[in-house]
Amino acid sequence: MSENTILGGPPNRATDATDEPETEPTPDPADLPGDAETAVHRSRLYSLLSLGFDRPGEDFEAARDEDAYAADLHASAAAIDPEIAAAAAAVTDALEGIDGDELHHQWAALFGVEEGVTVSPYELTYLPGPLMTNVRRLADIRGFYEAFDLSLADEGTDRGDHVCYLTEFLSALCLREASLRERGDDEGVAIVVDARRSFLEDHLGRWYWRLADEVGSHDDGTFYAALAELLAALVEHEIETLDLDPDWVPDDPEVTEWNEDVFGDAGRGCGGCGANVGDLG
Amino acid sequence: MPTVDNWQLGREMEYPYEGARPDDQWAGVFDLNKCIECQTCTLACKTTWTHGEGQEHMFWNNVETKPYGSHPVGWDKRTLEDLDPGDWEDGTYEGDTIFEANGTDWDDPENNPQESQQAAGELAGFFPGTDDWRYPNLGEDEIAGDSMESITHFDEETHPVWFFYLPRICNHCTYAACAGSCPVPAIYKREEDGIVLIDEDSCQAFQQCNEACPYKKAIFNPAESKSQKCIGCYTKTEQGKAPQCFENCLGKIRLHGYINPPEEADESDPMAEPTNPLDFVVHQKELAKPLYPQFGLEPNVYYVPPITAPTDYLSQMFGPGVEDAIATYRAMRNGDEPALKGLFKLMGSTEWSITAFEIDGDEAVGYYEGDEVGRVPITEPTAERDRYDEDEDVYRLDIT
Repeated sequence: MSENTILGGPPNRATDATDEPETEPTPDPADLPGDAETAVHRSRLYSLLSLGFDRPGEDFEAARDEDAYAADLHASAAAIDPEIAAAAAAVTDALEGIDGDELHHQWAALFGVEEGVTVSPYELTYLPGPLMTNVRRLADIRGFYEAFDLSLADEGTDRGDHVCYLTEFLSALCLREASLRERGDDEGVAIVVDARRSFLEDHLGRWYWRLADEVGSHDDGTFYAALAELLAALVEHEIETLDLDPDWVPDDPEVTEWNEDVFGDAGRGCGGCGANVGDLG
Repeated sequence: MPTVDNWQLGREMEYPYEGARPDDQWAGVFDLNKCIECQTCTLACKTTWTHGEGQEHMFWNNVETKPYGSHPVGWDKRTLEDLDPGDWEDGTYEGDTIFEANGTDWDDPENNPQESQQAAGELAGFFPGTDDWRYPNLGEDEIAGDSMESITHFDEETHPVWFFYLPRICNHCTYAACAGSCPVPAIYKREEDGIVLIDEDSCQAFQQCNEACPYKKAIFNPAESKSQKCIGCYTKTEQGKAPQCFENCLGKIRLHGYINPPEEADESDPMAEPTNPLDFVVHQKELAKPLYPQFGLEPNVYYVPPITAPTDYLSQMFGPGVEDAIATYRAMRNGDEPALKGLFKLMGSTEWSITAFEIDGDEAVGYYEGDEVGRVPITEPTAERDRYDEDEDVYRLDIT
């Protein structure tokens, strides 16, 4: 702003700013926990979780040929952590002896539109606040994908916040991490590890436990309950390893939290006009 | 006493800062006769800019019903009550503006907004509280005037039962009260296009702008602890494109461009050569009027008054000349103002801002910095069919 007029540009920023360009500090290997081998296993585990949570079809049947799904799950889980290995063993136990039709029935009863999506596999469902606000969350997720030159497949019909996409994205990040570690590219490793940190802290790390609770409450002891527990074990391990502190979603989806202050009793609308959906019927 | 020239008041007025005009001044024209309050503009803006936490109550663009609607509650009535009624004499406003109403000596260093840190208190107006933001649809579609009966017919030009819709955005005022009151100062007016912005990195949440802006378009975000406001979609206008609320207007009531002060206004004849459309509508034809010019901010959104509403109400809202503007609008509808009619057909016909337009035979042509960006027929071709279709032996209800 000029001396005595409102015309001008933004005011000067911090007075102690220097003209020297900011340089990125060299990443400290101690801040990048893990190694290439573990990263590959982590990548495979996320990938198998993604495949498992998807609607069972030809891909999953092919993965189960000659017990490959169970064997890979065991191998990768055991390479990461004993608790994760135990959770993986529960998954393979639950999968044993179930044919494709039965599996599809279990899946449809939980996640399928056939029965009204009993348990939502979508992140936005679990977030507090009006839907309008959460559009930004969805955009943030898509931004992560695009930052790594990934996009949803044209034939895909799910939203970007589906747990399958989230885990598949984490799998891709871990695979890139492994490749970069092999090449000794610390800067590249720092970028993908930082992205994994942010993605877990801002997204999957906030609500994975709600998914596990919801699946467990509807389907205790089956494949999907065990799979959700495996996801929880892996993400909890990630949170500990990466020293994350995700802001957990509320355990009550109807919570109004901050928007109560603005709209009072009409807190949980779409966010567009302040009307309460419950009062419109 | 620092004084600035406010052409909308026809006189100089007091203001905390010295007067200066930007190279170009962002501006818009809204034809209130065409607004149907579909709120597409509101949502186009909301989904683009204000869908974050702490912005739930925030509508950089809103549409309210007049006379009974207002968001925040009573924003205009409460400020008008703070100003003594002021007369207009031959186009000159003789009352006090919000900067003048309290008799503040802006020359006194103690009253400098950056020194006092409470300049908003020296202006007429009020601080909108949480409750004031709760009811964005207050008064929607409520009628004024006589009671409405099933046999009521409107025979008069001014309807006995009336309301109209008022879409509102930041006016990117020449003498912005938000910028004029900021203690930091974190609010400034861009030299290149006159868009008024809050520098969020500098905002220290004094909230003086929330109170000072009489249009209440600088709004506090409690989640970010910063004030925020309409940015005129400068990311689009810098590319020549109209802002979101303009582009998405279903009723095609909006025209985006740049306006000059009267002494620099484009006096060209659009029947003969490209002419600045804002200067043409506002200065040459005096058809579009500023919103509450008596506040003293020289706002830069100009409204074509609704022709069926009472002119005493409209005069309070848009200043003098409303009767003439309504007569001009009626003349345009009757085919007596082909250049105006052509320009109004151009509104909403292109996503580009229109910096010039001209009439080319039966067509109106819009330009953005010399490039043709829109061409529309002034009179749309229509065909009329027989009321009775002999072949089908049916009567048609719709024959055009």
